Parts: sequence; C-alpha cells; structure tokens
Amino acid sequence: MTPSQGEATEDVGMAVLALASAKGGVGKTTIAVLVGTELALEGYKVTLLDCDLNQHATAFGEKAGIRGFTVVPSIDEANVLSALRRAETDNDVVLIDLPGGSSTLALKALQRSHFVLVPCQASLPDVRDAIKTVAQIDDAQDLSRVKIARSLIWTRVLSGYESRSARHVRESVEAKRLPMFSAQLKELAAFRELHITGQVPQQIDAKSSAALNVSAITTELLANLEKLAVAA
Amino acid sequence: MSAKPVLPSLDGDLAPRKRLDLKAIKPSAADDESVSENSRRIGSEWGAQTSLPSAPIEQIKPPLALASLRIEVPEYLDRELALKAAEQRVTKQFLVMKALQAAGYRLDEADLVEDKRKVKARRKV
Repeated sequence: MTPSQGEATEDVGMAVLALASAKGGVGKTTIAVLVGTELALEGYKVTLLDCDLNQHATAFGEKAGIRGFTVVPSIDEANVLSALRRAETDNDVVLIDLPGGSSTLALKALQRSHFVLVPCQASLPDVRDAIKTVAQIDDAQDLSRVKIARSLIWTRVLSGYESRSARHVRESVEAKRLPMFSAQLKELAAFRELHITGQVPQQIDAKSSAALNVSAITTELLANLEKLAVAA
Repeated sequence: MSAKPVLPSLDGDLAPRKRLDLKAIKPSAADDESVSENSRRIGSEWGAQTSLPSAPIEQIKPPLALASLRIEVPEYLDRELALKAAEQRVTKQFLVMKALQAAGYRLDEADLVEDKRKVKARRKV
C-alpha cells in the first residue's frame, strides 16, 4: 500500500470530523460552518468538504472570507477519498458536511473520520434516523477495524421551552445512554443570518448568546479531540 | 428608574481554551479499495444510495429439466462403450449422447457433460 492510498504517515496528522445523519434539516451544515469558523478564528487551519448536493456551506464559504477556513465544493462519492487525502496534508481539522439520507458517500467518509457528530432534533423521525446513522457508524467501525468516536447532539433547541413530546423523545434517547453532547445547538436567528451576511456570531458579538452557544459546542468537541490526540 | 442591563457571562473569559496539537491524530490507514468495499457491503444492508458498481453476481443457470431413458443394448456394445469411456475418462452416457448429437439430434453443447460426477464433486468443494 502506498501513502496515496490512505496509509498513515509520520508527518501528516489532523482530525477528521464528520457531520452525519440520515435525516435532512437537522443542522449538519449549520454546525459544520459554526464549528469550522470558530476553530479558524482561533488559529486552527480548517477545511470543510461540502458533500451536500445543496452546497449551502460552499455558498457561505464564498461570502465569509475567514482566514484559515476553506470550503471545498462538489464532493461526491467518486472524489471524497482523494479530497480527504489532499485536505489531510495541510490542515489541523477537516470537517465533512454529509448529505441526508443513507449513501455510500457517507459510509466512505465515516470510515475515514476520527469523530462523527450526529445532529438530532427532539422528534421521533430525527431520532430514528440518528440511531440508524449510529448503527451505520458501528458497521463501518466493525468492518474497517478502526475506532470511530461519535456523539449525538441536540439541535434547534428552543430556549426556555420544551414541549411534552420533545421531553419524552429526549428522555427516551438519553435512557439509552448513547454518547451525547451536553452542549446543544439552540434555535437562534443568528444561525440563519450567517448565510445572508457571511458573518458568524463570534465576528459580530463575541458575548452574544449565539457566540457563547457555538463556543460551548466547540469546547466540547475539542475535549473529545484532545482524548483522541492523547490516545494516538 | 430603568433597570440596569444584565451583564454578559464571563464563562468564556474564565475558561480560555488551550491550543490542541491535532497533528498528533493520524489519518486512517485503511486503503481506498477496502473503504469502498466496506461501503458497498454496509450500503447494501441499509439500502444506501450509491454509484459504486455492484459486486459481480455469479450467473446461475436454472436447473436443466432431465428425463430418464433406459435402453437395452447387446453386451458387446455395452463392453465397447465401457472400454472407450474408461480410455477417454468420460461416461458411457456421454458417448451415447455424443453419438446422437453427431447423428443430427439436437443436443446443446452446455448439456453435453463428460462426467457429471466430476461437476458435482467440484460444487461440493
């Protein structure tokens, strides 16, 4: 096997993070963009591979112009592995924004990821698809024999109110003791506006609730990556 | 008198994030071929969308309908057939069928098997 086929080399190292869920509209792109830019603003070199047909991350990347944050568009099943290899050589973090639905594109990306974040709203269809995604991560891990760390994260959470059904779904999932971020992605207008302005909350007001929300998620993600770095 | 605005949280200032050396995390060592094969396998179990070519499927022919034909022949003919079959490592049935084919009866080449016992033995391995 040659390094070009994916062999680990001494001088190449970085974290590959995938945002995955069989369900669409759960916040994969939002988290990918927010975490990617947050890390870039802190000095990490970040590349986001946009695998979603909708290419919303790419559109944001064209507006944003944040130093150290690059979005690679039009990643598909045929070019995902080579794109990952290219990104691995010159970044601290590679984020993969995967499309909804089950696809071999996602399965390829999962096998090359160190950590998979599975966004999930507190509704049964979201949870059902998130659990399915976790099962696919398990299958990918079993076949590739490489540990793929993963965690669910609650998304689009309303501040100050939780419906009866949302609480029921959340408590049912938490009872299964799946890895779960304690930070949640809130439902905030700032996360919609970034696609219009090309600016993330940290750039507009670092003390805003949106910026603090992103900071909390990024902190938890980095804590998980630190465990991986220590174990490596 | 208007209420004073709530002061922002100091959480970010009081818990600064240290810089991690993410270069310590190495890329996966799995080669592209195994990753694609694994994806195909898992994808087929989960009904995943794919543009990967499907794994080759062995062409399985439907079993040939057979009929039994019992005939009586002179002993000298049977002996000659047995000798020829042993020499050629085929069956007497093969020699009779080949003779019928040569006489103009329809017999597809695929159905003309030298020794069916050898085929069955290969399938068992």
